[in-house]
Amino acid sequence: MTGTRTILHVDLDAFFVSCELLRRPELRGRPVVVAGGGESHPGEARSAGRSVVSAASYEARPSGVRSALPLARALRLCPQLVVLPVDIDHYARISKQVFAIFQQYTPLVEPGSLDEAYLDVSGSQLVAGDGPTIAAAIQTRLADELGLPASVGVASCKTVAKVASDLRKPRGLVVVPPGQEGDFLSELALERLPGAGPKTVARLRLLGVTTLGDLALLDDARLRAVLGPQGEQLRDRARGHDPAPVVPPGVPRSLSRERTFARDLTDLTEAQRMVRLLSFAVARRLRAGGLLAGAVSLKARFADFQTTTRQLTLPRPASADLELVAAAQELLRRVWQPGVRLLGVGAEQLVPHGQGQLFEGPAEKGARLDVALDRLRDRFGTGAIARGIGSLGAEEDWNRDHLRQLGPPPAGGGGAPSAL
Amino acid sequence: MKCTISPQQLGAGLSAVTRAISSRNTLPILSNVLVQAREGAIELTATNIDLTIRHTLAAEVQQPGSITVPARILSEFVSSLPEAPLNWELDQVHQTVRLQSGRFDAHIRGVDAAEFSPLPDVADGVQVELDPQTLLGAIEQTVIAASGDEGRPVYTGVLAEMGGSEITLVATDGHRLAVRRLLVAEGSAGVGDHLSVIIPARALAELARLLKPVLSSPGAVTLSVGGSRAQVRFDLPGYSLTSRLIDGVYPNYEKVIPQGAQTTVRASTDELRRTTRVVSLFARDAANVLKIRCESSQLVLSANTNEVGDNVASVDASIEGENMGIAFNARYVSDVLGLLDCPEVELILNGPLAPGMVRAAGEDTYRYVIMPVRVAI
Repeated sequence: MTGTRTILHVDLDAFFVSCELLRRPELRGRPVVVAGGGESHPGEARSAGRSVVSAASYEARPSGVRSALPLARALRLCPQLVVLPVDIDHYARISKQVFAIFQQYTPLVEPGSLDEAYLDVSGSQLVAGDGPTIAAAIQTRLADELGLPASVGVASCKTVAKVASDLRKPRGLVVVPPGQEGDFLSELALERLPGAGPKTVARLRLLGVTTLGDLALLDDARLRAVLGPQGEQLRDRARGHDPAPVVPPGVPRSLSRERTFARDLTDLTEAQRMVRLLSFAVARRLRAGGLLAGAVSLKARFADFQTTTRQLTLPRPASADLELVAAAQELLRRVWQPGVRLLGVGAEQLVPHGQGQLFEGPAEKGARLDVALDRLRDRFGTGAIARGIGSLGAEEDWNRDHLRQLGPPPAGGGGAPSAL
Repeated sequence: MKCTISPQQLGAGLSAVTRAISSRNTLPILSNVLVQAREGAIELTATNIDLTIRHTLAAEVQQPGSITVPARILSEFVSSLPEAPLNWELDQVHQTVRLQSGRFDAHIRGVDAAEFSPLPDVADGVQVELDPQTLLGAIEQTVIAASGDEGRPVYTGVLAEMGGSEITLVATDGHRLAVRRLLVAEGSAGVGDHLSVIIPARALAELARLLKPVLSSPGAVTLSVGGSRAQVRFDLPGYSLTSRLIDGVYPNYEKVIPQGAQTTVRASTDELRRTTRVVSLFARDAANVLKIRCESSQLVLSANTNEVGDNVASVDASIEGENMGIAFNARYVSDVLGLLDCPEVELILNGPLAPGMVRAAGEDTYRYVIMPVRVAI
């Protein structure tokens, strides 16, 4: 690729609060925070004292209320504060709509979290206009169609775009023309640079480095002495050089659930029941992620710790309960011998899309039933409904599934669930 | 049996009929071609039981007769010969053919013509005449949508619905559907009672191959369906093709043809074809996903594959109704665009999950319906 890239960093302003205001418009103009119920341990009562501010409205910020502040302190700073509980499902749903808008401008969208993303629009100029035009169009559409304020930074690399989007919140649009990245950054404080944490900043201060311009001019020897081998990359970024590409999230390669049994299974019927439940759990995960499995695998560990894994390719990619179960049962039949201490069912060769069928066969009818069941479980909980051959609430104690990413994990994600 | 013939003509005829021979056949006689000499002409016939192709060509016949000869050695020998008259003489006692041309003198051992399976019968049936050019177009526009998967036999065929003076050809592989209406040739009798048969797409593809060289010669194509509804035969100048019909219930295809339109798009066929081809280069994974967005006055096409890259392009279009986005298998889209010769193409869409339809703007002689790919956003 030649020439300059055009990268947008779109950051929704006080996203959780904005989402809440959409359904509680009467709170507009008042100081509002969304506060997490504290990471309370199971069995321990939720206490206001442990809660932390997840997002604060711009009306609350002048009194010093900001995210990550303990709720108790926020309330002392601003006694008239309106406190709302976190409803991550609600935000995730809205986030999906936000990303659907991003996707219309470029397929190269890298989510940072529910409320921010990098967009590489270098290839979209002919279709949608230049970077600032696209940035303004996205801002307008987010405001008009979803009622969400957002700030956007436009630059030739991710680092500068992110700094730019952060500069004039809320509703900011900051464009850094190519060639002016260094000038743009030079006056800014060190903390503005993504990746410059408190420790790094403190060390650099000792050298009299307080702005990004100072860091950009730091010589190699001192740089290495203070920051080690990572320093060079940080200095490059302070100069506005950041070659990191915008990487759309990869599709996981496989997805599985497994279970170790308190006592070894000797009865085939019992093993079949377990395989069925594991398959249902995997199938539901697939559907929730909009994925289809090209193959199904079965893992069995026997009493002597010998472990066998077998795989079966499906006639066509599927995510339906019954299609996965059928394949997994066939695999169980092939490996079965009494004395099984662990069983696992996996979905392999995942693809993110499925060719629809013109004529509805039994598989399509089954798929519609699955979707209907999923909807009920989403609303009323996993135990709300099950097939006659399943069992209610049996998914609780599955081991965590393993997700292997194809692409690198989203940058700066902070473990937030990806909206895609 | 004794005759004289041009090796070039014989070679061309053999290469046409031997396409009916299967490489996997189990009966040795089916690897042979039946050669029958009669007054002024010889007939070449090859079959795999399901499909039979016969060719008639002019020859100087001194003595009528018939024999079957291994097709492969005969073709290879004849097509290697220089242009000089080929004398063909059968030694009835040894069932051996002597082929003599210029300085070449060959003997090929044959098998008695009586061993060859008789040509299927299409007597007492329905007969209509079709214009070769129209038929060729209709075949090309439909067979492309048929499936190659023998697991669902009706999908490997083309449904021919006949009634009055109209025939509708329909093909689907379950993901896309092609429907083409055509009229019987001028002056031809119509089909009395409504009749539906499923013709193997493979047979129609072979028919299309035979039709191309004879388009310029006068005469119509005669379609005959036997009284027992088991066979169909097409007679065209110099050739006849007979095929078994597929037994089965064809899906109710009318149900999936969009009736209304939430969004109607019109664009230049050439421009959309070219753009689709270029953007599709980037649709490289299993589902070949091509995304299409309708936005005010343009269609935005995009494709991306993680390991390859991405491509976005736009085409001017007039859009009526709602703006929307949809994803199709890129191959299904480029297939149909390659078969349309109208200046303007129309896309009829009803949301991202409902079947979309492609046709020549404002026309419904040919309709092509594609089921979209569900894409997780």
